[in-house]
Amino acid sequence: MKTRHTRAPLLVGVSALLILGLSACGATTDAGSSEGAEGAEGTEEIQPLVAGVIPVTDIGPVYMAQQNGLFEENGFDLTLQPAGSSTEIIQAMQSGQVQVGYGGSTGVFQAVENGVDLVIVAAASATPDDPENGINDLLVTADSPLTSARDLEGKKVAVNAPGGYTQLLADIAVKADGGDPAKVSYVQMGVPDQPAALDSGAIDAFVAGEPFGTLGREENGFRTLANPFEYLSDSAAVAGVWYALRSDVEKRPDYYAKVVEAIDAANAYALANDEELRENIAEFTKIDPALAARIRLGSYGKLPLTVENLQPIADWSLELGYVKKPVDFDTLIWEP
Amino acid sequence: MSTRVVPAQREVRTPFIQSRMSTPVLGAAGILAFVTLWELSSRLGLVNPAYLPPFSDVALTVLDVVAGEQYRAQFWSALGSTLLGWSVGLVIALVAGIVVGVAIGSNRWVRDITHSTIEFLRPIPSVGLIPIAIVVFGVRPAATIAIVVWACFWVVLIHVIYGVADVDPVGDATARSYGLGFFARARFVVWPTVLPYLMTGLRLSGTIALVVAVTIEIVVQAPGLGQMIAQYQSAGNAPVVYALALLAGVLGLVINLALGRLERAVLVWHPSVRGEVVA
Repeated sequence: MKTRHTRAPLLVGVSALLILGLSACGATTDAGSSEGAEGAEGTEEIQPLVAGVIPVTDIGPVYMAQQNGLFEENGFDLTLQPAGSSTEIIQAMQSGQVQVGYGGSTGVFQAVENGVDLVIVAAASATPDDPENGINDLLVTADSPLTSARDLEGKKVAVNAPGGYTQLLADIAVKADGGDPAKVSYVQMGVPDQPAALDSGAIDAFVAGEPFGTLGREENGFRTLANPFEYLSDSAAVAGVWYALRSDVEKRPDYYAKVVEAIDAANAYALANDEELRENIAEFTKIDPALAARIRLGSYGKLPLTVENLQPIADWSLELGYVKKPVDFDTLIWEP
Repeated sequence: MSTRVVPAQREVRTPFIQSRMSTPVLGAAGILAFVTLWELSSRLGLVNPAYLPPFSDVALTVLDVVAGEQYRAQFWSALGSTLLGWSVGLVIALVAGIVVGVAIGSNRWVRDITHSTIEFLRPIPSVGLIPIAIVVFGVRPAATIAIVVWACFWVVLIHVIYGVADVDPVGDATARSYGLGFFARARFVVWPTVLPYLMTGLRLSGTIALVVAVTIEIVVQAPGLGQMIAQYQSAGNAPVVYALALLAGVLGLVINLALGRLERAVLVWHPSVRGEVVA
């Protein structure tokens, strides 16, 4: 009998843990349960839409539209499903759980080259056209001996994903300054760790991402060594895009036409309401609202999705070896 | 150092502790020393406070995360998601591990045939399987659970196999000669032998499952404590990140203590727990 007594409170405790765990079942939204293959195209009914996103500021416009009920008005029940990388989003897309995904245009070019049949359906973000206000500057410490991007040859530069967009930007800056990008030694490092690493001398420069670019400038006195956007193109270029699988788009053109319409509307609203956009970015990314009001943002809704606006990044990607063959724009951009 | 000789009959072999009081006292002293070191290194600027906020700030943030208006809802729902993945994964691994382990362990032939395969599969790092899990399950809780199951299944399996193999042949033969059937032998001979092994496997799995679950959440942004940590890290909010890391540590401690107590409660009859009982 004695064992009974010792066991009872314990069982209560363990079952309480289990119940707490199970009760979360009801609390969490069951993302991904929506099956993407519904033949019937209802115009009136609410349709599920799962967007694969990376938790960055570029998602701000779509998040804001979701909060404001814009997607509901367009007949969508939108779920933003966070993922760690574009690769994961594409994988979830192929298993039919995600209908549309966010990613850098370079990543999409690379995926298409590797045989994933994607189409770009809408622009997510563009580089700012104000060269003084670069969001992805190469930052160095205030007392760094480096004077221009060419000096990065033989130096350590941190990027969050080797072979990705940030490294492409650093390469552009070095190359345009007459240096050899191959001589730069890139170190893979999470964006949040980069300011501390620069401070301690573990790296010589990093490609800023917000909010760490703004924080680094304010708190550590980091200065801009080079702004890759100056060399990227004469004007701004589309950098972040929304994409989908070609097979999905061809299967449900009406559905995707409405998706594109909703995203475009979200971007247009973001362009007109900067302050509200920043509040929503703070809410979505958990960046402190006061900080979110100061950070540098790309431009949203300003540049339409055209070949001209995608071309600069495609050209640089080819020149620097990020893609092997010229990007084939003939069918890459999907027009409803 | 005291040189007092302990009388011989006082030499009771207890597995973890010498005396009932020393562990909590020494433990508290250790924690206090660590906290002081943390606090001072941050306050004195040995480490940049922006990257390592002082402990006192983090402690206040912990209260804020647990009960404050701003983070409370998110934290508890994240904790729930993590514990859901943890508990479901652990239960599946436990059931699968027991069933497969008993099947393999009962027969020497099967044990030898499967041994190399198990030893090959077991060291595959669970984090390395994340891409596969995402392809199969998507970024849903299912992916997290699958990897938790993978990580814990082997631990449980190995313990059960060795437990079944450890059945006393004399005891088994005795049970047979007394005419006990298969189920009766399983109940009275095999199960009591396996149980201590299984409980050890469970206690180890409990912590492994938590580590794996939080890691996956950080990497693939699956809902849970890990996702919340990654989110505040990307937002440059160091105090909350440290607070969440502390809370995850406390959670691990609670799980370990609870499973330890469960182990002692279940094995109250076992010599290793019973210790020397003066009749």
